[in-house]
Amino acid sequence: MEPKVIEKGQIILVGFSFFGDPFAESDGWTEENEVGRLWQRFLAYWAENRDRVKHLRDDDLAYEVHVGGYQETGSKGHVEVFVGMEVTELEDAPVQLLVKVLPATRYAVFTLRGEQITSDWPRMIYQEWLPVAGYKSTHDYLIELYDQRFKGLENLAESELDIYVPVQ
Amino acid sequence: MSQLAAICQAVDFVEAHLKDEIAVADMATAAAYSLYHFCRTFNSVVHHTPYDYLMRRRLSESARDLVETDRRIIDIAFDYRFNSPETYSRAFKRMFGLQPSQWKARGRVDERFLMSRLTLEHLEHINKGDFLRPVLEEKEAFQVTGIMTLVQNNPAIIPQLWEMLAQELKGTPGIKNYCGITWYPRDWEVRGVFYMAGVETEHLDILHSALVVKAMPSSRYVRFIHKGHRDDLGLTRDYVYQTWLPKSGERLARPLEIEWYGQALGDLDGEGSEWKVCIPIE
Repeated sequence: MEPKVIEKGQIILVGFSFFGDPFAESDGWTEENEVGRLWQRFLAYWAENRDRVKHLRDDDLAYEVHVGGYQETGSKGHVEVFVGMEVTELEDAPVQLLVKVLPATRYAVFTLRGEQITSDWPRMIYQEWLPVAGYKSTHDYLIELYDQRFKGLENLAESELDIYVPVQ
Repeated sequence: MSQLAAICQAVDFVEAHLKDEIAVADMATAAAYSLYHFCRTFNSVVHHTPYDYLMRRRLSESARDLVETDRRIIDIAFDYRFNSPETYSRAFKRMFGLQPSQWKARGRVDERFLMSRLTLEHLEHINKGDFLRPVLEEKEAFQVTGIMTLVQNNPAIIPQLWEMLAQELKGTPGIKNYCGITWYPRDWEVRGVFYMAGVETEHLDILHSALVVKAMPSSRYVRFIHKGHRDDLGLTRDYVYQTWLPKSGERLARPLEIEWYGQALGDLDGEGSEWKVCIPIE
């Protein structure tokens, strides 16, 4: 899993967010969890309201941002999960949408394929790849960038997913 | 390492540090998982969030200390890393429905409702398949005919009871459904539980036998399938009382459990045996 390292400017996202343990309600009998519910909620809203958002960068690029570094992250495993779309500039976003601004930074970009998507890839990236490659994680977030190559969890074998990890 | 073994390492880590300042991130490190993957896996394997399990284990051991030691409530609260007696009381009441002072005054530890220290056997049991999936059902009033005894530290009496029942029923037609009923009387931790080996009956002529009849009221029940040895019933019981009950928000209606064995008793101790376990809920 060799990443490419790229520079990216500031990213402005509009979307919905969840904070907590995303798996708290999943009881082992269903795959449903808060991340899935967040996507369902956002996509339903987006289908109705996309025309109200100006300066949309790319209709086929969907962001899932995981933000840690809160006091509850280490102690309770709570994280923020933000899902949304990128805009090139912010103008009159509907009040239902939250705005997330990610800083200009350098990213290590990993492409996950098939089963890798549901594996413990954060461990591979943070515990194994980063130290070996001599990079340091610089921010408490990472991006999962979904595009046409992601065919859904039911078609995992044919799917690809890009992970952006801010590094220095 | 298997997923269950990794989660088991995190569970063992919790046991070693119940009184230390540990975080979910440390549990993930003990399992050698990333925090996010750990939370996902822990939930799917244990059916509690890691934080919920940690707090329930701390509260359960503190509940034991309240009754079994002379330590003050405030000291016990700090022992288990609660920031203040108030935080401790609130969390304690949420789990046990009583204030720590009320629990201490009551002076009993009902093991059914304490979060057990999970073992690899628990995790394997929970993850055997979907047999622990609960089903809610209504059952009309019914009668059970059988033999009842007090079970203290002599669980071997239960198979003997079933043998006696079989002898008493020999040649009796119309047997529908074998069932074993466990009653938890007040102070059962000290006094023991009552166990009845019986059959569900409508009109059974028992005038000439030693059998007794017990009337059971109509009730809602939650039903689980138990799979495995009868000795492993404790694993199903732990799951029902300690995981399903608090998560479902349901309340126990009466302190009893019913094991349903169907038309024939069969081999209760076989690895492949399975039967229904029901508890009445409000």
